[in-house]
Amino acid sequence: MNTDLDEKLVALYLAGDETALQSLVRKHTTGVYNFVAQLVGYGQNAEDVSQEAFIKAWKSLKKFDLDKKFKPWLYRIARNSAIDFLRQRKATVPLVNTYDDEEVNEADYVVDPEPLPLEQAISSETKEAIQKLVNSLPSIYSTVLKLYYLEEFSLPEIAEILNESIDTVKSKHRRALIKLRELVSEDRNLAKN
Amino acid sequence: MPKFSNLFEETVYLAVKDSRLVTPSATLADRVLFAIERKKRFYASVKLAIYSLVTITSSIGLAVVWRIEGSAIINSEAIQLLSLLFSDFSIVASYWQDYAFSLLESLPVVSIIVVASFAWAACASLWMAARTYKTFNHRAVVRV
Repeated sequence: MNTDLDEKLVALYLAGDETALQSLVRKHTTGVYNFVAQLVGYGQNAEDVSQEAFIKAWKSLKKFDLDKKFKPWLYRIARNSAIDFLRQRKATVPLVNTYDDEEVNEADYVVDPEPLPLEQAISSETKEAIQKLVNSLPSIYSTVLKLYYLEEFSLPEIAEILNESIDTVKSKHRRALIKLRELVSEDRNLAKN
Repeated sequence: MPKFSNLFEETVYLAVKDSRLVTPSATLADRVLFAIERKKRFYASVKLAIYSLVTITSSIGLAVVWRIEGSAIINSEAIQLLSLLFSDFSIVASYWQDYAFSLLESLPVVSIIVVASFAWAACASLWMAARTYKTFNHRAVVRV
């Protein structure tokens, strides 16, 4: 994903181009929604928190450092918004993330135009099974995996988003993979594949 | 692309990158933009109210201050010296140093500062109010 474009859009908006803000919002709505949903659950809550996150980001846009990347900055605001929401509801951050197929209304597939050699050997059933196992991991692990592999943030960027040290994020990433490997081993069918 | 330390991690990457992103409702982006527009208008209306209040207050203050200090300025020796500049320029030019010192000494500095401050406040706040009004009337195109 071309993140240089984000910074250009921010600069354009700050220079007075209102359409640049519209482009930024439309580009990141789905990503922010899915990220926030990791903490507050899918549905109206995630939409409300996403809206709040974008408003907070807009308010702080003048203070945004154009030398830094926009997307990690936005996601950090989204995370803080989600935590504020949970605090207001006096809810705890969900440890287990459940994935309900029925909540999926549409699919937005991330398509890699140049499949890796291994990719051709992995069946779609295997991929779906691993996706379900990732979603069943505690939120602190599934969030790191999704930010790293799906959104393709770097570990330092993930540390910035989650407001944690890089070592903590590396540790969570490592533990997430270990946990996932254990779950795969328990799933005999998946282990065979 | 992330770096992989082993085959398992690469497998996880291939699986996760093909995850379905749950699409929010179609109107979410529009609602976000509409909410931002609403906030923008609210802040603009607050600014407009404040600048308008300052304009009115400083204009009234200017009128009051001018009534008090205006006569002091008009009747000061400085005004008479300034009129000499137009009536007898040759004398002013000949004795320009003495003229300059006399002019500076006779200036009702405090009165001028007070009147100028209120005038500046009135003009500046009026200019800011006009600029805010122009922005306030600007409508972003938001599809709903």
